[in-house]
Amino acid sequence: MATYQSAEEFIEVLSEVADQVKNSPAAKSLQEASLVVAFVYRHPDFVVLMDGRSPTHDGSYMSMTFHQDLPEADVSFESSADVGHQFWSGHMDIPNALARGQVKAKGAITKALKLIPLLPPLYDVYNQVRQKRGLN
Amino acid sequence: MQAAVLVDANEALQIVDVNLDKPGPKEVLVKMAAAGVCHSDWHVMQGDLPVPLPAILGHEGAGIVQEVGAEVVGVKPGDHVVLSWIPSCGHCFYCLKGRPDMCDEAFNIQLSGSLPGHAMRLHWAQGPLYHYLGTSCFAENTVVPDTGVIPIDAAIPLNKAALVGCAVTTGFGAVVHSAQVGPGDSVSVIGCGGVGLNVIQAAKLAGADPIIAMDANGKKRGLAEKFGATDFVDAAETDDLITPVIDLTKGRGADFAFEVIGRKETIEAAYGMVRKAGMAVIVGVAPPHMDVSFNAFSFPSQSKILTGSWYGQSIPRLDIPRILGLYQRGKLNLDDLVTQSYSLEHINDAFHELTEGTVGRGIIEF
Repeated sequence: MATYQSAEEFIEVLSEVADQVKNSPAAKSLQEASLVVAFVYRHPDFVVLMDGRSPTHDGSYMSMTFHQDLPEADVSFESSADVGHQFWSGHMDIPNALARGQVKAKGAITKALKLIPLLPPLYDVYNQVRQKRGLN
Repeated sequence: MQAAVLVDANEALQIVDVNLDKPGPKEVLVKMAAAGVCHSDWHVMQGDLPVPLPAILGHEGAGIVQEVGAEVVGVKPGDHVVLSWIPSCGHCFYCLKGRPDMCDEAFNIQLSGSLPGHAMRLHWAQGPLYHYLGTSCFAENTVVPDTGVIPIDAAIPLNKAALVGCAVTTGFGAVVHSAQVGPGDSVSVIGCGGVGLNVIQAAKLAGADPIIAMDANGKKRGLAEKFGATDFVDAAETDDLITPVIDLTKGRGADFAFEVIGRKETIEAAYGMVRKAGMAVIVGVAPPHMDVSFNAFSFPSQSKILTGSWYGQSIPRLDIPRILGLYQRGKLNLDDLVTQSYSLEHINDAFHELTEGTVGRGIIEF
């Protein structure tokens, strides 16, 4: 069974994650790299945009927005939403997932991959949010 | 005689009276007993596989020899035979290299819609009818090249033997010849139709474990398990087929993955679910215009082997009797492959049910 039954369910979780990490070191690095990263998910279909370039209304390092179509981004990672869940929960070997074709990347991938070491705290937040919502 | 004619793509088959010439010097006239209903015929009916039309389809059949040409030595009237849709010439580069599945002459026959020497033995009121894969066995009788008939033990029911003309040999050969699966190898199989089930049972016969079957029709679970699958993934419930295989193979990926559908997504997934230095075997026949994409860095860094298997890379004259021998000794299950039989008049119902995924293998009985 799919991890998320609707885009809304996944978006609610990621919105809460974004609120908690928008001032984190990972978000700061995204801003320093001036990167806009998109995650394009299928089943359910939606796009997550993590924007470290545009100014935010509250002065945080980045914004996370959700879309139906792919907005302009420096790099995009396309996968099923199930694989997206694996990424956010920290259960994905990213280079292997790229090699296997589970994730298809386009754009400034080298820049984006530099952020990988900063991601584990985000995984913890994601897993905590899911646990709090009774989704684990 | 009656036959099922495909006049044009995206049309139903027409059951009509057609005429059949006497066999040429190196040809054999076979009275059909049974013919399997295969997705490849359906692809032709949908226009996905271009062949000359109008034609009589059907490429998986068995029957009894009625008449032979003057130069035929391998079979005689009364012999029970399975048709082979690769009537390999025996003297081209590929035949001499031991790869009759790649025979140039057989390939030309497949494309040209004729028999060797451009012979056309089928006619109807409107003119000549094209042959299909040198077999055209959706007909009460057919004329085929002598290289396309394989004599078999007359004790074997022809409605079981027919399936060895394609589905069984293709699945069996993909495992035994193309992949050479060994005891304890992990195997994943995407698609549990007539060919996929035979990949599964050949993998079981080879000692593979686990054997992970996948299909978008959850109802195939029972059949897949009956033929030897140890695990089943319902592809309708996730479009990530790779993770379940990783999970079931100690995090490595399968030693061998077999794609038996012919879709872009599943071909890419088959490559992705194989372990480093493992092998993905594409058995499913995709439309000629389809492209697939793979991560280029993975070719050197993961050193996987990506290959195809056409008719199970088989040598029909050796493999068809071998497979039927395994059936007679209870090692291969042909009895449960046929889940529905139809008369020629109901052949369009057979294709409808094939596309609904409600049958393992349907068969036309004459």
